[in-house]
Amino acid sequence: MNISARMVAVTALLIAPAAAQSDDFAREGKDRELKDRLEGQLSPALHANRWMNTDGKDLELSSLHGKVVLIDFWGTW
Amino acid sequence: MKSVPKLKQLASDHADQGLVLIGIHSTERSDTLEEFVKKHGITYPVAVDVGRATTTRFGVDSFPDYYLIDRHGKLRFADLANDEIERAVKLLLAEPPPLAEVLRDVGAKAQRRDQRILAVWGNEAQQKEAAPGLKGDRDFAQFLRYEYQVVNLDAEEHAELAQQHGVDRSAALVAMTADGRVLGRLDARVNDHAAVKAFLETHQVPMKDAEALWTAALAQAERENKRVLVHLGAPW
Repeated sequence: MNISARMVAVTALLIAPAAAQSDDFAREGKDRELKDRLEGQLSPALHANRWMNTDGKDLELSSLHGKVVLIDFWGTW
Repeated sequence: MKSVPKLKQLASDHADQGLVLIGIHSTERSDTLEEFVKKHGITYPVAVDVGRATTTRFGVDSFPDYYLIDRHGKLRFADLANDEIERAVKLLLAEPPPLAEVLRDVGAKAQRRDQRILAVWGNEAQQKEAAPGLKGDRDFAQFLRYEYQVVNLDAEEHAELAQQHGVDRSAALVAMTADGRVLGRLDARVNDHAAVKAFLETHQVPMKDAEALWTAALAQAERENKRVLVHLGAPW
């Protein structure tokens, strides 16, 4: 990469706003502060008191690298 | 609410492309969960989050909330709208897995089946150009299937590995052992079937002489006071 191209790349990094979403997918959630901060980062780990349907094993996200993981959070408040 | 049957359908439709579905049940008590899981026929992994530590860490504020993590472990969508789930899943599935994962899978298969690995290097246009080199008659197709695990790689996406393989930006074939040791490279005439066939035959796993194997096994068994177990098999 020549000097001017490198300078342009660095400049772009400095002035780009910290926009969380640059795609056209609709999100939900009234309070998005934490969610927007988490997006684009390595996912937080999953900790469970216990796991079901895993033959008694603890499932770790790191073991699922290479896969696409869809998490459905449900429950009652 | 995206019903459980719809999610299960999505999960099974795309399981072979690498989609994993996980449920996280957030609760103060976990006693009714068994019934719920059974009633809805939930067979995918469910984490019981008593006290909501994980739920809170992810910023979940209502139920149900859907989160999507890509093949590199990055959280790409936090609290995705119901209607967007399928489209987002398809987007992420279309992204290639990390190279380490690809090579690990390919290497494991090659190891199990006593095969070599063939890396076909090139961008999309070059892969198309090189295709005639790998096209032969039925015997050749069988030979390739038996002797090699084939992986297609783009030098622009995997610069470090390309360098290790001595590959620049042009199309090339690299033959490796199952544990990734480079045996040879073909960078000229990759679309020339005769040249490619000769290259692949040069680097295939040497045929083992059955009699020599048998004699060696018997000798070793005698030294170690063991039996010999004969496994007669074929590559398919």
